[in-house]
Amino acid sequence: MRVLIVDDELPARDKLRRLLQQESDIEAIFDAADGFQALERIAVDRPDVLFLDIQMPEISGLEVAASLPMPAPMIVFVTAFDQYAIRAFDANAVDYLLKPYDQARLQRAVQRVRERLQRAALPAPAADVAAPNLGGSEVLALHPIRQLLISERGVTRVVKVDQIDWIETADNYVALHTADGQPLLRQTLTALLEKLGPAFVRCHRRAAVRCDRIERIITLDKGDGELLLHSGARVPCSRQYRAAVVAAIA
Amino acid sequence: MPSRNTRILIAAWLLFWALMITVELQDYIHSGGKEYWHPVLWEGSSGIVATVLLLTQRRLMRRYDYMLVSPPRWFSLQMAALPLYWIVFTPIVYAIRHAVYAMLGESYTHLPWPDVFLYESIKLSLFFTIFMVVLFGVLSYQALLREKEQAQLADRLMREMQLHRLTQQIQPHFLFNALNTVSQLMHVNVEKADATLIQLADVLRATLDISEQHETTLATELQLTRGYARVMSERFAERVEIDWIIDVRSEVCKVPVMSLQPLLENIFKHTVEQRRQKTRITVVAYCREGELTVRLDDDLGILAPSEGESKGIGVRNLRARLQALHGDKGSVTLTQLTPAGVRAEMRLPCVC
Repeated sequence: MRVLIVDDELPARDKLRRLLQQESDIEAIFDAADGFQALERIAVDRPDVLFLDIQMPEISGLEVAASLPMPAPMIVFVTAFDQYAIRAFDANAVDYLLKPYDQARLQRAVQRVRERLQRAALPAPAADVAAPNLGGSEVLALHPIRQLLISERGVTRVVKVDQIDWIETADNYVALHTADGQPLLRQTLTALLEKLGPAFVRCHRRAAVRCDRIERIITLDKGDGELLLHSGARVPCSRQYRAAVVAAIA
Repeated sequence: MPSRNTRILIAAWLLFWALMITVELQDYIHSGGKEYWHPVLWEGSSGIVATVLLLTQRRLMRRYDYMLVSPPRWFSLQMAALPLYWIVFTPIVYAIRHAVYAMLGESYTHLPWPDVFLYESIKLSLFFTIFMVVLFGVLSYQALLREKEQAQLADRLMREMQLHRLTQQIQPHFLFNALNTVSQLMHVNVEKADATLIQLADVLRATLDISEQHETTLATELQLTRGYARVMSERFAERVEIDWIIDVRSEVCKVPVMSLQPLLENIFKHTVEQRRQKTRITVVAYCREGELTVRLDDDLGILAPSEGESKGIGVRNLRARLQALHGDKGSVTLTQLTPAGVRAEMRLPCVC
């Protein structure tokens, strides 16, 4: 098992490292002091699980979780006081630890990770299909995802969520259409939309749009249509999502 | 529009002189006088000149009102002006009377000048002394009211600060992260873990303290703030560096309780915890020309434009408490430094 510790406080990282070193099946432990370092380490070190602090400078742990490229590592949140925020937040969240925690509690979390890893090793359904987002919207009200981290060609940059006009799937990626570029994020549209909350609405099998960017709905043949955005962009809007779009902007 | 109190004082003053004129008039009629304007002119001229002189004195000596707390000093200062009254009062009053008589084609007869001076000076001295006693009473009463008002305000602000700290500021994040730090330190350095626990306890004790005390010495406040700083420096080991430049003479100065630590806490909350780079903080305290200055500078903070005047309830409450304790002489300001950083500066009067 490969582990990445992400925490901005050195003693907190040291403590996790000291306790994790005592587990025999952990082959490598890496650490990162913030979200940017975390994404860089993930690309290089390919950890199976993150021990992820929530309150960190510039990029919160929840924003790191929302930015993880597929296939995403599992997450054990480690936090002082945000237990309400992380309960059932993310399909990849296996457990959460409340600081300060003892060795026995950490071992239980590691055991859960082990079980999840074994299940994933079987040819059974992928781990991230299950786990509906119970209470996700309440969490987002408390801790909205305001920014995503995107690593492209070894450079990690921040994309503000309120600068995204619309989102389009492109093979294994989603393209985030902003005023200055279309960065790619290796995620599914469904998983991303769950994390971004009600500011975005799905308008097509392959597209979603930020509700407050819609200028008007243009109807084409057979009930299909297009959305004209303030930016002038046109986004496909298919019949089965049309009602949802109308409801979202009403 | 003058205040209610001022209007009452003016009315009392006019009534007093009306009384004086009436008495003089009655006395004049009693002794067989017929020209009723004579006594009115005599007392009227005295009244006007006395009013002008006393107003001038008030204006010049208002800034010594702080001496009211030691009446002998205040009285001797006021009485020092009396000889001037002897010299100035009689010539002006008699000049007015002579002039008015002359304009109406009459001549003003009175006692020879030495007698006039003696008589007027004795009368004036009595009058002046009585006036000062009354003035002392009025001013003391006003000061008393003001003080009571200030004390009530200070009490209210104290309660507000305590309530705020109890409900908001015992930050679970601070507490649990600090405990987690200690939990790790114990395996590395028991002495350090122990020291950190004690400092954490000091911070908690100060936070939970709801005593009646408004002020404490800077030394005590510094001890609490250093304790908080040590806990935070353990947590953010690589991300913060704090320099303390404290003039020892300033440590006896009285400062509002919980004034320094919240300012440092602000820097951690808004800058150290939000930034990935290392933040350098300098805490400076010195006392010069009767004023204590405590200054906290960081080198990374950014003050949002609107926040300069009212950043958070903490700074607003501290500002109000300083105002209640020291009036315009106590202040706390936040300023943006260039190229980066925020300066928090507290000033208050202190004898040193």
